[in-house]
Amino acid sequence: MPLIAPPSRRRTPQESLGAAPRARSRIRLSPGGTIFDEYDGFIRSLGFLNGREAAKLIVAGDEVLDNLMTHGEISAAGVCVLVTRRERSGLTLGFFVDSHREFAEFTRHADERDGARPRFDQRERRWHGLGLTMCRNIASSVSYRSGELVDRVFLSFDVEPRPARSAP
Amino acid sequence: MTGISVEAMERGAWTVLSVHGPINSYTFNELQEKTMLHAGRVDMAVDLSGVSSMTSAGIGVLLAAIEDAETAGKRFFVIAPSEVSRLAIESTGFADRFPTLPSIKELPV
Repeated sequence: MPLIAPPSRRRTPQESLGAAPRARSRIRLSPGGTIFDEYDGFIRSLGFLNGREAAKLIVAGDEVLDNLMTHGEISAAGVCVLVTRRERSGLTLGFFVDSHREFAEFTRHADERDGARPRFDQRERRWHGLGLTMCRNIASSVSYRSGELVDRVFLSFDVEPRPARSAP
Repeated sequence: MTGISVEAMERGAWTVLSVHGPINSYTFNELQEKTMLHAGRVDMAVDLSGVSSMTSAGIGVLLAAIEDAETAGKRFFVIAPSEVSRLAIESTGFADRFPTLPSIKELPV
């Protein structure tokens, strides 16, 4: 009987380094009122998220999009969204939009808002800082990066235990 | 864009608003108008079981309604929030401001 070893599969760089597997997915969202539908549908379609993780990304991500839309920071190019899951380091949600003056102004004062509680403006009848507080409470970290060409928002989340997926 | 629907119905002493769809800066006006009609005037409950997503725009509307009810000595409840709306409420850090019931059947007489 010939002693022929079965062909060996080449190990991926991740396997060679002993790194945890990574899943990632991206989408470009069109500017306009359908942006929330597109985003929520995208997140719900990601098979590598469980129901609780998808809910977190929907609440925090909608808040980021709501702010970008409200402040007119989304150009015709739309918003690029990237979701990455690593078993060890967790979930990362990234938003990439064309650079905008108002975003740069916001990031300049973002550190001062750390720890600030949301406040209700009686005259305007609206809350200030509530969305930011919600994002900070859901995510393990939130960071804003203003750039010459592209502005970025990154949110990190702890991974949840892996129960069977259920719709959020 | 998916809009929201807000339907009002009477249930005993209560006016119940049933909300379906996503609540964000583009859709919250309808919820705001309906809550402002009733909040602080009658005992009111808002059923969030059909809410697919909710930003701070929706949270702000609910907080204003709760405040109006408290000021006027009326009762207010959030009913059966969906997972995303419950998470949105929890994420404010003051979820205890939102009196919540698991079902419309639990509304007190």
